[in-house]
Amino acid sequence: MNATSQKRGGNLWLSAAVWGFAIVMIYPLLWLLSSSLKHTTEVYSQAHKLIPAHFYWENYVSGFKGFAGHSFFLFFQNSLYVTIFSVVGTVIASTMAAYAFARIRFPGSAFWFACMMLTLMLPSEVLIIPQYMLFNKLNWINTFWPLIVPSFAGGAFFIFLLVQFMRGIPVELDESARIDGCGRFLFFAKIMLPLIVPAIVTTAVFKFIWTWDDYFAPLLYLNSAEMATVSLAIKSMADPTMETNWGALFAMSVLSLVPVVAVFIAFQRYIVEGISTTGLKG
Amino acid sequence: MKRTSKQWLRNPDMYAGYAFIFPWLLGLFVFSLFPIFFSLYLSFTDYDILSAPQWIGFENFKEMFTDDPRFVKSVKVTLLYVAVAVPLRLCFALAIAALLNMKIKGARALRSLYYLPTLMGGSVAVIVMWGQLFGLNGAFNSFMRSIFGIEISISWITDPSTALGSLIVLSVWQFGSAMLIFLAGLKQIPASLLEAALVDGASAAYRFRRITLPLLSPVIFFNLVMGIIGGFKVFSEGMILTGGGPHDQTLFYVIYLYENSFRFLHMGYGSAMAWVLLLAVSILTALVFRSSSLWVHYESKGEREA
Amino acid sequence: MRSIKKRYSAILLLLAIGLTACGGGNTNNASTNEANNTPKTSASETKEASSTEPVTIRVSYWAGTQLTIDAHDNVVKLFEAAYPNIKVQSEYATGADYTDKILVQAASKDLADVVRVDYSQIKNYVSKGLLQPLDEYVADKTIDLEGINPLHTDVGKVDDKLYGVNIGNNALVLFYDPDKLKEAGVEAPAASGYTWEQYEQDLQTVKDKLGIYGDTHFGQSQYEIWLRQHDAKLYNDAQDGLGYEDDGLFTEFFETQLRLQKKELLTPVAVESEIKALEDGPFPKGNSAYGGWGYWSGSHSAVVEKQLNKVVGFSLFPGPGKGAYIKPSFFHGISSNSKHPKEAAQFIEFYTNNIEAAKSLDGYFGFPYNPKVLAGVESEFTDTQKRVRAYLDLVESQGSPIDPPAPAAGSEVSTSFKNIASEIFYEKLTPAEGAKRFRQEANKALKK
Repeated sequence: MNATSQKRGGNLWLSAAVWGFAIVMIYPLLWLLSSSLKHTTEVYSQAHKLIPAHFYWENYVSGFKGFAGHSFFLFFQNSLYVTIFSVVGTVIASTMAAYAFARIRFPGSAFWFACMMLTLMLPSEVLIIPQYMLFNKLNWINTFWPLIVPSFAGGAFFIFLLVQFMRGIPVELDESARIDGCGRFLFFAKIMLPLIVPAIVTTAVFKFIWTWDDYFAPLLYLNSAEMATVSLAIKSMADPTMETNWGALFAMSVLSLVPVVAVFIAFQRYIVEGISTTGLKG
Repeated sequence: MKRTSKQWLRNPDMYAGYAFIFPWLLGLFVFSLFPIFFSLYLSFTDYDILSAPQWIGFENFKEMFTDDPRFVKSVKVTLLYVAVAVPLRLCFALAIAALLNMKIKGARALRSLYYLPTLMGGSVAVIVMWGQLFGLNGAFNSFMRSIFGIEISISWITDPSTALGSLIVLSVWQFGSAMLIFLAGLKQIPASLLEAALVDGASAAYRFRRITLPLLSPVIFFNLVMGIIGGFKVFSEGMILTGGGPHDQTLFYVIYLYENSFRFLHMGYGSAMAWVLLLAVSILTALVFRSSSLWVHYESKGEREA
Repeated sequence: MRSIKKRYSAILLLLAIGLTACGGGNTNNASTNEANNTPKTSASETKEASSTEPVTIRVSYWAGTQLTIDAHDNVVKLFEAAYPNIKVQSEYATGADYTDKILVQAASKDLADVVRVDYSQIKNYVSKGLLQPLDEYVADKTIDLEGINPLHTDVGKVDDKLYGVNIGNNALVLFYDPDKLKEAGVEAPAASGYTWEQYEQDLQTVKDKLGIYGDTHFGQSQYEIWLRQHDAKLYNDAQDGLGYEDDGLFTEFFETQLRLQKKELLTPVAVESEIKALEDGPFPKGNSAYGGWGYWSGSHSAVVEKQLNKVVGFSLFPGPGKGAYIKPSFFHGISSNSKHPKEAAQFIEFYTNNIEAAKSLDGYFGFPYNPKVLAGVESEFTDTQKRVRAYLDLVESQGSPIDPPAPAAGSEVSTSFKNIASEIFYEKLTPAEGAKRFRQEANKALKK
């Protein structure tokens, strides 16, 4: 009796601490929301106020209008297009490669794995120029190809992640499957994939968010205004050396978070509820 | 166990292996190989981006190690950052993940709330917001004033003595990605094992140490390796918030590399820095990989730790 | 242990492949260099065909707000209506992004036909063969510079050839808040003969009477004005060293700043370090009486007045007027890889000299200097623009010509300056030590 009530009390404290900390964590989001509703001259002069003097919804209208005759509707379309294809490509190629590295003993496997890890270690800043030269030679500048096609080669980060998860799956499964006459491809598709759903969804969610937020690649490869992605378009609204409509900028920043948050909330349960319900040992 | 090449050819695993890594391998050859070797070549040149590179042998490397105080400074700053921020973030992410994995009311909502800062990434809002939290008149200083009556007139992010520390706090605060990976890993641990231990009367701490940690070790290993690599390559946080300042107090290695490459137009020097970093980080990573046989527990016995 | 060896032999192998690939990289570059030279000869061929065949030209410009993009877009629409055979594809970015993008494009010989180049970079771009001379288009009046004071166009010349057409004029300005000065009983800075002593005294009065800060700390741009006031320059003529011998200039400049800082006449460095946007500075927020932060008369005046919601005063910086100068806000140049230089020149002409275009741009990227254009748009000037114009006239009458563009190592020198200034203001370094270190670091960068 005593022990359980003590435990309950402990849990209460824990809950309070965890929820209290959560408020600290979302402070920036609240601040962003509030700034998106302030008049642009108030954004900095009233920066410390979390509740705006007047709710200035016009920011959303003037921001959504976009620029050069293109509204944010178009930018959202562009972003979705790039992001969805990148996610699909990354997931397919990464799970395949990870499966090979985690489960198949093939000559050269260690070599290629080392190569893959090395590509993670080189700062991408020095690859910008030769990569641009390459895409320029391919005539891919001002198209979505440089943003999408490389994703179909997977990503080293995700391959490594998936390898680690696959190696957590008991190897006896492979053997029993082999005895059952299950080939490698069938085993991969029918047994391995369902077992690592949390890791696959993690990959998809990360790739979605990172592609959605990335503005540097779009900046380099997309030239015309009608090609701009949301993150690039938002970047095109802020210039610390010129007059900037900060209210509209923050309004669009809020909007740009909507798909990302939606994707995360929709898919997070697959990340954390994938395998425990399937039951490994059953 | 040496195999001859003929045996290789007859090995069905070889075809399966290469079939599965084919998309990645193709991408490596088409999109990465040329840029990577081009940058390696550039590291032996004087290249100002606007005109053709001039071969200068090891000059860049020589200058780096003998005649560039800012390089030394950037190495020191980065090492300090990696040594403090990476373990802190790892522990923090693991602790929160373990907490959220417990049966707490509203765990799902909490997960989203905790991941939000990571979702916001490095947008303009984050910069301004950090100013609001840790600026001169920021929430932190006001809090100290009103609760403890302590007057603080430090702008935490921009003051030379506290800037690096603030960036470390920021990086720990963006633990969401690591936390999510831990959560996915925790869920992969069969509940039956933990229940069995519970029946045996094992304490929570014992269960965590003896069952959860070993089974989670492949994922811890992943987060550790990526944390180290990412830590050495830290760029955006510093670039956005401090730009390396004040007077180089937060001059991360890659910020200095970028500055050399794109601001000073010493792309050859920048490339040389990139390859020095690659060499250093790969040695460190190799050591971590070596150590993994001691503490990483795999269900399957792959080749990596052989 | 074996696996490590395996991994490292892998790395070695990669390195080996890399070294053999180097030869390839070299020849690659040689061929792109040749390609770079060809457009000059093909330029004359394309010229005849230009007037009828449909042509698309790319224009890259510096912009980072809805306002600027829309203003530019308007000009493009007007241009396309006037030249139905030419289509304009615009590209834009701002700040460091713009520089990055231009560099990456330049490395691939993929620059837009019309490139916007800053004064600080034009010399470097020309010496690397990225821009083509515009003299033939000026001679045949495709770009009509007649009736313009050469003072405004000669700044775009390198080695006596014109490479950049000035987009508009700009000048550094010391703003002041007339209401605050009046309240403190301080006279507005005189149009000429405003001295550093007077400035310091005025800051003190403002502080004593109103209890607010006078101004912000000064940086490199104000230091260059200070040097010009002493008939010195930041870089020597050969641009391989500093342009002044007396470190006393550096020391005195920073000692003055430090003295003002210690008397709390300047906003604390901590406050200034938190400035995130133009609208965020102490002056536009109404927290200081003077705004000498490094504002440009062009696009900044309107922002500051809007933020403060009042008319502000324009003054030269304290000290002899010869320190002031007019700077071209940006140049339009034609890249040497352009296949349509004639059409590019037509666009530049339209942008610079068309009255409707000037109205649409509204002096946003710098003030028009062509008398014909000025006469055409004068009637539509806002009050702010009238003040900007009066200020530019003042700079022109009192100031002296702008210093030559900075050398390629200029950004390294600026970084050194910024770091040393920061250490001085945080009192980690004395001005005299700073002077010595700046000379040593700057000379090292410039000699490279």
